[in-house]
Amino acid sequence: MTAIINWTAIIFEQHIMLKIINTVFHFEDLNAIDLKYPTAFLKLTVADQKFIIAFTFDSQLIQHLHNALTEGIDYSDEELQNIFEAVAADMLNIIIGNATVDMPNNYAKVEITPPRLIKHHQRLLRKNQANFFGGEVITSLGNLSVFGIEPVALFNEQLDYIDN
Amino acid sequence: MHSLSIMIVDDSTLTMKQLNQFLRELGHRIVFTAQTGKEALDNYSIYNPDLVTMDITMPDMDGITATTKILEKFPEARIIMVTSHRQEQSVLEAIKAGAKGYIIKPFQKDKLRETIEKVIQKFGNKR
Repeated sequence: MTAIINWTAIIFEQHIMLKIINTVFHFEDLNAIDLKYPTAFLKLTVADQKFIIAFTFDSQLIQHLHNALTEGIDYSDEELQNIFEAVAADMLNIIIGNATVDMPNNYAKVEITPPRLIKHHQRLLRKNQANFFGGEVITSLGNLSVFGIEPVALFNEQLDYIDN
Repeated sequence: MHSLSIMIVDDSTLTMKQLNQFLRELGHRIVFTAQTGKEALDNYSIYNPDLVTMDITMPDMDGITATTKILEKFPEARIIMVTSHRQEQSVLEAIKAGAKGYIIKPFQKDKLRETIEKVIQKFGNKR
């Protein structure tokens, strides 16, 4: 999680020119996590450990990221929503991909899956053997919440519990 | 450098648009875009591009596997990885698969131009 939060700050500051005010870590078990629109998540395998990593964006922040990443890019009004959501997925993919260089892996390949999107607000309560942890990147234009979720096998492709 | 025919392989709508725009601005022609490694493999012989930009993490078939399979059939293919994977093992796997260049996202147009020029200078154009 430290590598992911640190690389978020690097990418935001150096490529998006976004001021980072603070970074906060929640290494202890969280009882619930709130996933806002848009949330992007992927599965991350580091050596023999598997996690789900979810990024959930404040609306002002995702709007700024959208403006920054699509500057000079042509797209139609019909494509706007797809592009807006692709920004969330791309930010997750770019940050996790860059962070792989700092993940302890005993020289094993770090694997990540393509990102998926959750397009509605969702509150996930901790139950069974689920473990939630995470952090916040606080910027001058809103926060990015980063969540780690395990074990992967408890959740489906929409981040609902499989036993629901 | 003269205009190259290029195939873009990436499952990200945004990266696809960025690459498409940057490459056109650099004077190249986009002959095909694929969102999976399998789609790239299935269409390579049809479009026979001068160069391929290849993502690594994609559904169906990842970019390393697609690179290996394309080069098995078409050893003259020029493939550049365009990916966020910074881990050394991923870079080494891509080189082992036969990739001629490696660009880490997020990237600027200048980095794209520089990498393409290096690949063409070092390995020559296919035609």
